[in-house]
Amino acid sequence: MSITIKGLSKLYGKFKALSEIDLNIQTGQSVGLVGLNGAGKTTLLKTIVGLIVNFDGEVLINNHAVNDREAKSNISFLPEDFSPPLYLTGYDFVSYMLRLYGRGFNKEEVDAFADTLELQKNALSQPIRTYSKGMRQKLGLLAVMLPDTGIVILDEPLSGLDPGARVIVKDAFGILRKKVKTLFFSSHILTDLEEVADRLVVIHEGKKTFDGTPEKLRSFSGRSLEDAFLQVIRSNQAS
Amino acid sequence: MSRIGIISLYTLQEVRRDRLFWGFVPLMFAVIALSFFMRETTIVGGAEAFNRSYIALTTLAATAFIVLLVVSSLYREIDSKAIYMVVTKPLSRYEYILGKFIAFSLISVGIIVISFTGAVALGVGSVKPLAVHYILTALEQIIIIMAALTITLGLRSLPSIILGVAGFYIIGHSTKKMVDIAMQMAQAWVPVLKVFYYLFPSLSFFNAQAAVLELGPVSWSDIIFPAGYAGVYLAVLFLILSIDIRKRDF
Repeated sequence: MSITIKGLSKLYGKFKALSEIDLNIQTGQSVGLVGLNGAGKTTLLKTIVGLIVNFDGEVLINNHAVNDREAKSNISFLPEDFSPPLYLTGYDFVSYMLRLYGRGFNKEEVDAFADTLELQKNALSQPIRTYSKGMRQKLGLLAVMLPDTGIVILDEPLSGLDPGARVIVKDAFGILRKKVKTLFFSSHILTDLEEVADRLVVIHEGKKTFDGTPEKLRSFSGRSLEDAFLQVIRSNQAS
Repeated sequence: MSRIGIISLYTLQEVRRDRLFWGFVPLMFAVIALSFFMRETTIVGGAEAFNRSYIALTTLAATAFIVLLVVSSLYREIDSKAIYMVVTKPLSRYEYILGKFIAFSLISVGIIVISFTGAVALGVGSVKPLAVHYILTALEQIIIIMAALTITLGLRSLPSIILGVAGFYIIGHSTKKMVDIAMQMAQAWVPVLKVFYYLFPSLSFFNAQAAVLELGPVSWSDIIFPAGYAGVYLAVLFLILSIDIRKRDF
């Protein structure tokens, strides 16, 4: 399951949100997308999942255009700051998402995944409006893990979560990687990214400024990964 | 089940648990109570005042209620980004719209059936004129549902959506009067004005209140033209929405 992006540019009026992005993500890779606020991370992810349709360039999912049914069958997406429909129960929501992929609902399978995310089974029978932010995020993760798609795309999956929930979510990443999923996710927290990504892509002001392993990024500075990230951005600004 | 059916099913599931949905029960009681109040406080023709009030209020309440349901449900889905999770699944955006449309149309039909049953039970009028009136009301509501979907998905800002839907309803009920006045004032422009008459939403076709109140004749054929108009108008709105949403960035 690959993602191929060639010369991707996106304009919002006169503002260039993405500029000539080229990216190739192969099956089984776990790629972290890093950038400052407004760098274009969400725009890039939204384009890959077909939410943004007006762009220049080419985005292919396993050699299919992003809005082809075939491409969409292979992608699961979790948006940032997302809340499932409040009046459905957790089980209803998961079943809804699975059925849209043409998959049946298996309560035992759902319960087993919910256990790994430490999402209580009795909570799944309750309306989502009773859930905390962390529980909603875990439910969203459950809904992207269960359909067994080849590509999983997550926009800031760790934002707003407490340290306990972050550990659980990172463990869930481990499960996804074992299932040879292609993972592409954005985050502000570089130390979290380093733990779960084997490749980092830095974008700044809509341009790709770095693409490589966390070790390679770290080599830009003798200090922390954050420092190296800032060095990369500053060197890009200078050039 | 098709993906359109799945969207409809879970929309109905969600609406069923929405507190707003259950607000219809006290609303119906309020309509009946107000109609009784009108009967008791009208010195001459109390029974007619009751009938007139019941029909007008059920029609208006049902329309306001369904518009509130459509807008609140869809706007919440957009605002919470739950829509992103749905439209990125292997389905086309028009399947999503159709699924929503079918769900809300079914709710609308349910509300109309309750209003009609209440009217028959309370002896508001003869069954046939009542049936014609409520069928026409259902057709009107189906147009309004599609308009509310189009406006909500198109504008995505709550104040603009409220203004847009209210504007559609007000224009819909004013078009006939305005065009009639304009035609009297400018005879030469009659053919052009008639185009406007059909181009703008003309919701005054969907009313047989006079027949229910025994002020005029009614037959089943009175439904044919409004049904045809509703079909064409729905198709046009759906086409506009499909083209718009297909090319729209989320």
